[in-house]
Amino acid sequence: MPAPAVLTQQLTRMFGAHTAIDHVDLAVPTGAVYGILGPMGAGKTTLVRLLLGLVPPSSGSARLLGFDVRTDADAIRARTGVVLAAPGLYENLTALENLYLYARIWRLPTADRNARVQTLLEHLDLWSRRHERVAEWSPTMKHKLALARALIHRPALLMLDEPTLGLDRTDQELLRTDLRRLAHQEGATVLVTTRDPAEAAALCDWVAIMQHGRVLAHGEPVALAQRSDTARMVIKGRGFTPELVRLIASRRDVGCTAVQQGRLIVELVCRNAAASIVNLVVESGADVEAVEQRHADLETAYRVILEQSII
Amino acid sequence: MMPDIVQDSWTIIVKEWREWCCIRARVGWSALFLLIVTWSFAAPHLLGSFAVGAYLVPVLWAALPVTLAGVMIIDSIAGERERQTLETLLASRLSERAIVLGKVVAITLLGWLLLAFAALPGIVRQALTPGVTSVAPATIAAIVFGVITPAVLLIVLAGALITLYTSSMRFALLLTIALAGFLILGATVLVIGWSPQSDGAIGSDMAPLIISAASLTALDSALLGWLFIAVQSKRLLAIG
Repeated sequence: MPAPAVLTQQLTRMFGAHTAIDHVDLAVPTGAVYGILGPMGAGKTTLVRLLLGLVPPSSGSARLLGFDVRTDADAIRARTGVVLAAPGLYENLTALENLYLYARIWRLPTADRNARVQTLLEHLDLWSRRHERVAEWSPTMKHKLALARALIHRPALLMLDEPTLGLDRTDQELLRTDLRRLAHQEGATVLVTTRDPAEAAALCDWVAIMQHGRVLAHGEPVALAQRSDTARMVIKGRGFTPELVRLIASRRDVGCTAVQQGRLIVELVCRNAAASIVNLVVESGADVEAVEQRHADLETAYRVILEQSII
Repeated sequence: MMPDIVQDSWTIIVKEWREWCCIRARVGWSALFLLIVTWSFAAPHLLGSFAVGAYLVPVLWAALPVTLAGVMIIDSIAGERERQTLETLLASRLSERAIVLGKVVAITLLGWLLLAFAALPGIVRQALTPGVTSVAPATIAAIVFGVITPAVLLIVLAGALITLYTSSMRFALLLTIALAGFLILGATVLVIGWSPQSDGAIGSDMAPLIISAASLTALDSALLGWLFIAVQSKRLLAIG
């Protein structure tokens, strides 16, 4: 089994009295798409900066591609492609000039450089607009160009810090499709941070959920959803009053409750609560025709895990 | 083979120049250069006939290039930090030192180019029409190249250091412009102060010029050393 592409042990970063990263243990398998999922302020960006060696750790260790972030940050950066939350493009330059700049930085031979730039821009459907100034482009096109820039030197590891932030749903999906395809073609390990559980579920083989600098849970998205003891219960019937919905939502073993198209949808923090909730619905005078219980998706599991961490 | 830092700095120098050239403000650039060249001709006529005034002409020529070089280095480092392009650059294989050295060299050369536009037309005009000032054009040229060129480098290095220790571009800009003003005022005071000691004939005594040039060069070396020691990603990104 190959060594993990990213391995952190008790990685910690303090800013004064504030602990931004709190004893984080991660093992990102080589070749996997690994997601760091967490709300704003969870420490995702600080973690990326630590892994790139831009900020030194306060304690603990991190090794990327076999190199230590404390002593070999240059070697790590030389083998890593990065897209940060802001695309980081020079807006007064054209798309070609932006890519050629980074091709020179990575010292690609001229012949390879031209072919590589053309291949990437064609893959991302940007070749016809290569002579345009980036300032005139849409956010999605800028994010695509940032992705091309990150891949230009064929990195072994790709780090993406909220790459779809600020894009609408359709553009997010387009970018994800490009990302999946290119990551697969290039054979790179991908570490992506996101605050969107749907994105993590769609994109990642593995997910770690972070809050307040700590990793709360990690695993494959499906396993994570099942392991969290959460479930989604759908009750078909009539007479689901707002008072009933409020009453169910106030229970500690319920995450979220809503009535949609005549169905009462209850997200259970604890699957054992299902029977008592059905009783409650019946006692309220509502007609129950059918009850269906499913494993929760990652979105529900994520919300429940975050709520539990606050309690 | 060129050392890595030289090759990497050259990449940054070319990037900086390209960025400045690509700013789509032809009218703005033209107005700036017109202002500088006009001042280059006007200053000797306004002050050149006075004994002390003739020595203030190079100080006036230096005012705009020194201030503009200060503004440009702040834009180049703190501005790039605020435009969120610096972090991506730092996440590449380039070292922090190569990035900062490239920026310092690129902006210093641009500052010297502005200085050439500010001083050369005036020097040539004085050489072609004797009597415009009371000082020989060769002495004026010695002041420009001996004292003002290291002064441009000084403000660029100081500006780069200021960006490392301030998280706000606005404040870095204020400090650097204040420092440029202090340099220009200081030079003015020195010129006026020296003239009575030499009966208004400073040109006959080159010691103040040599001392100023040597002091500025020593200060430049010290600031460059400080910059190389102080430059770190977390300072460039103003983290923590």
